[in-house]
Amino acid sequence: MNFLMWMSLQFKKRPNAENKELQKIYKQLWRDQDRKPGGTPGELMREVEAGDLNPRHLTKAKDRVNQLRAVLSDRNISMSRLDRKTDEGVMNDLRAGIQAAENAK
Amino acid sequence: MRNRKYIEYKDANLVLLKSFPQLLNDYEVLRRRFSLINESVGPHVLYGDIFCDFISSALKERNEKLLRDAGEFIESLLKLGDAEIVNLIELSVLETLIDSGESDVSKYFGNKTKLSISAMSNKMDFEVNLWM
Repeated sequence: MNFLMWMSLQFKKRPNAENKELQKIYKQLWRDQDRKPGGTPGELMREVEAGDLNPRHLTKAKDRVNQLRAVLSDRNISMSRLDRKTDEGVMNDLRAGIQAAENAK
Repeated sequence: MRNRKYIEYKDANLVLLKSFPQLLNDYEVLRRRFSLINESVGPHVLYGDIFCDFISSALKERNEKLLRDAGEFIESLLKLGDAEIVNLIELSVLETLIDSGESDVSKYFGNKTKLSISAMSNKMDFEVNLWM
């Protein structure tokens, strides 16, 4: 992945979260056994950079952004300010990948 | 499943819930939450979170029938699904199972599923032999 794309990602590895639901979502986005860093946002950006017009990680990124938005919108879920800020940062990373994929089409 | 010739991504949730109606309650919780943002439940969320938890529970309970059904279901989606379905199974189901080290489930997997797992060793660092 080129340097600018890489630097645009806020989370190169899985962020921490106090909230268990967020922990579970982040585990889906950054696998323990991934060979390359960057998780789903990183994979998506690598696919876009490789010229893939239908990147494999695009739909997953969209589904997970919606899930993170839905969790943030759910008033029954208690979340610290730090968790909320991290959630927003993860969404931004995913959206950056989605945007890059949409722009490449 | 046998009568289906081709499965499209837009039907992914429906196909799963028809095959495993015991997931309906968990789906409903997700559906209510996604409705807060006027979206439908993304298949990657339903499969990666709910279906994989279901498989993990069946493994703990050693429920052979459920595990066989799950293995056949995954195999049929890989055989009959469109490209997005294949991505869904590989990125959200198989990766989740590999990441949690639940290789015991592999004895319920068909050839196509094992081929996918084998190919995934390029992306993930795991002992492929345990899954064959």
